[in-house]
Amino acid sequence: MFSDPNAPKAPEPRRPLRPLAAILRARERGENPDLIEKENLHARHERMRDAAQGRAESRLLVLGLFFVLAFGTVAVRMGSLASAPPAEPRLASGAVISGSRADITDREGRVLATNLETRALYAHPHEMVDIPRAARELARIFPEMDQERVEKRLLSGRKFIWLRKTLSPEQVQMVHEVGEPGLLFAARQMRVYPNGPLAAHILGGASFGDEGVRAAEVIGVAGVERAFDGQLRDPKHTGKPLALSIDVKVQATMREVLAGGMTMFDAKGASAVIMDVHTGEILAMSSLPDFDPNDRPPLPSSGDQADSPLFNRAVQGVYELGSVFKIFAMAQALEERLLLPQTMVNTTQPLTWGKFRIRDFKDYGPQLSAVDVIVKSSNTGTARVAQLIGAQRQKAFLGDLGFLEATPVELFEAPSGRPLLPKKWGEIQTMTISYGHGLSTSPLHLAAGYASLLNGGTKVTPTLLKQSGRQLGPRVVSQETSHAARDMLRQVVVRGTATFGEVPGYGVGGKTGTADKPKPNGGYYKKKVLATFASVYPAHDPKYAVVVTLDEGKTKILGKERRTAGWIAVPVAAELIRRTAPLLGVRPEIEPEVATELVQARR
Amino acid sequence: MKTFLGLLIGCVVLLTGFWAYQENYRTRQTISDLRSLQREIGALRGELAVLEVEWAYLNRPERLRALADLNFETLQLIPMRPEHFGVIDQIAFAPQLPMPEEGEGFEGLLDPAELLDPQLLPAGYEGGPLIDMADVVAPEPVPDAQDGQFP
Repeated sequence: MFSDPNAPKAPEPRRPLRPLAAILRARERGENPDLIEKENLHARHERMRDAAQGRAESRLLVLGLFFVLAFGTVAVRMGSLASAPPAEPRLASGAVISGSRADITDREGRVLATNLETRALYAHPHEMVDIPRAARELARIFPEMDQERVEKRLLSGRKFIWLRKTLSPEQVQMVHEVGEPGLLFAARQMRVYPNGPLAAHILGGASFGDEGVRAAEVIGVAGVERAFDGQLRDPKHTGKPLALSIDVKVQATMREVLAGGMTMFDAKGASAVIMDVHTGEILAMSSLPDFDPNDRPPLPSSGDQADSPLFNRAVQGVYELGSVFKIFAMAQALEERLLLPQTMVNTTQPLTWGKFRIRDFKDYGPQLSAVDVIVKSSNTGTARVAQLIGAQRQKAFLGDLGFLEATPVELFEAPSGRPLLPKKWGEIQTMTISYGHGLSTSPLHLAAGYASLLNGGTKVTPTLLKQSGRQLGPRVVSQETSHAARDMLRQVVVRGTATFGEVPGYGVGGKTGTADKPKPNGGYYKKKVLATFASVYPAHDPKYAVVVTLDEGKTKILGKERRTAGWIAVPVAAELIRRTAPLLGVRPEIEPEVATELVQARR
Repeated sequence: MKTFLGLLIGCVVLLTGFWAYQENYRTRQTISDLRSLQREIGALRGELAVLEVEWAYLNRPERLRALADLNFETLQLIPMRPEHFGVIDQIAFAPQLPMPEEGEGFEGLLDPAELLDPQLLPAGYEGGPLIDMADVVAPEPVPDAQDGQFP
């Protein structure tokens, strides 16, 4: 019994209850052999009991340990729960509260686009009591519904019919009052633009995607809404509005001034851009005619897309912008030390190249200084300067300024504003491009180009998102060239083609451009022009670039019909600057005595 | 001793069970309160969104301009122009009022006729305080509600 516990346990041989030897011995002695059997049986039972007891004890131990462990776990868990700070349980209803499309705000946090709870109306015709009456009542509540058509749809045998996408609370109440159990409402979130058409082309618009009874997806269809659709819908960004670079005050003023200019000059369309020359932020951008994004008109099925109000002239519209480009040719010539501002340039008329003849608006004599070529806007002078530069380098320079590809602005439509480049960029193309014909770009390209050239010479990319600091783009021209170009543009306003652009205190510098509009099948219209004024202010330390374009504007002043930009676009731009500069916080100031190479050289 | 211990343990189990039960019900109550609170928050957020939209809609520049034009006679608001920027030198100092002597009050110094715009004064005004305290009558006290009924 007390053998080595480690030894392999051989089954104990079963002891016989009546061992023959012991019984025989007992019989010899005359004893009762049954006693032996009893004794042996007793011993066997003892052994069995010991074994069972040992087994039961170990089982009890394991069971006890298990209970201690289980209750210990419960105790530890309860202790940790009791000592942990109380937290609000996450309930499923939390997801219903948020989870809507993020707002869009302007740079000061004013709401440009947000959501509104609304209801959609649907019908279960099999639950309806009196369909003709319901159809009659619906037609009375919603004037656009036709009673017969609604009735026909309800009687068509379908079990589920959408009737209307959005209802105002009053309309919901009126439908309730019809008292028809089969007319039901679905929860909806509607996108609203409280400012109406103010920034229509920038915001674009939204509509419903997948529609369900519980909710419907709101998806952006154009503009910023579409370009940032993923981000706006992302639940991670709910409650965090998308801040644009637009300023509502400036945008509203721009739209008002531009609309006034468009009416005054009887123009077909107009667009304008105000851009920060250092950060590339677009503070305001308008294109007229515009539309209300709350009620976005359908795309025109026929006619020219460019005449639709949906067309963003400032970004999508690529035009030959005319003489506003001259400053780029001149700046490049200055940068490459081909001439100085006071260098005389040959302006004899006409400049003949092959079968082409280039003429000026009027004859300015045999030669002009480089400054005066810009001031008087001489085509022949600029073309001759461009000849010095050559096609390759001109293309590279315009490429550096971003004129050869679509603007990277954050609008869905931006890639469609791809510049139209000449098929062959030869010498004659170089000459015409130097004064803005042969290369079609958007007004936004022009604003970005002016900003890059005049902010000190580093490239800026236009953006619609609020920025925290100035852009550190690659250098396009040197500081000196940038200064000289500013001074030339200032001279244009002081004594050149843009004298109406003078705004006391703001030292506007800019260049006019009057481009004949190309006919769809080659050649140019005689009397249809695009008048552009591209400018920066204050010219001695540019802060903002302003580009104004009027399409087919004309006016009658001093008994003559005027179509040139100096008469059309410049006054509008001047009024725009006069009105928006105070809103942008620019104080009028007396221009500092100009101390650049240009003036020093002239002295 | 054994029975006493047994009774004691029984009581403890009973009490803790009672406590745990109560705790359970309180938790459920809190969760249901929370749910209704969250529903209320949701509804209030919806209302807030509506109010924000309305605020933005009422403050749209177009309407503000129309309002400014409508109230031009009283407000005389015009769009901001560069001329509206002033310099600090353009602001006049406030007129110097004589300071009272030591021990003297302000009474004798403040003559309304000197301080007020003459156009605002009543016709035939000849100096002195504008309101005679003797004319001021205390408002009649509102009778108390009696027996839940207003007289």
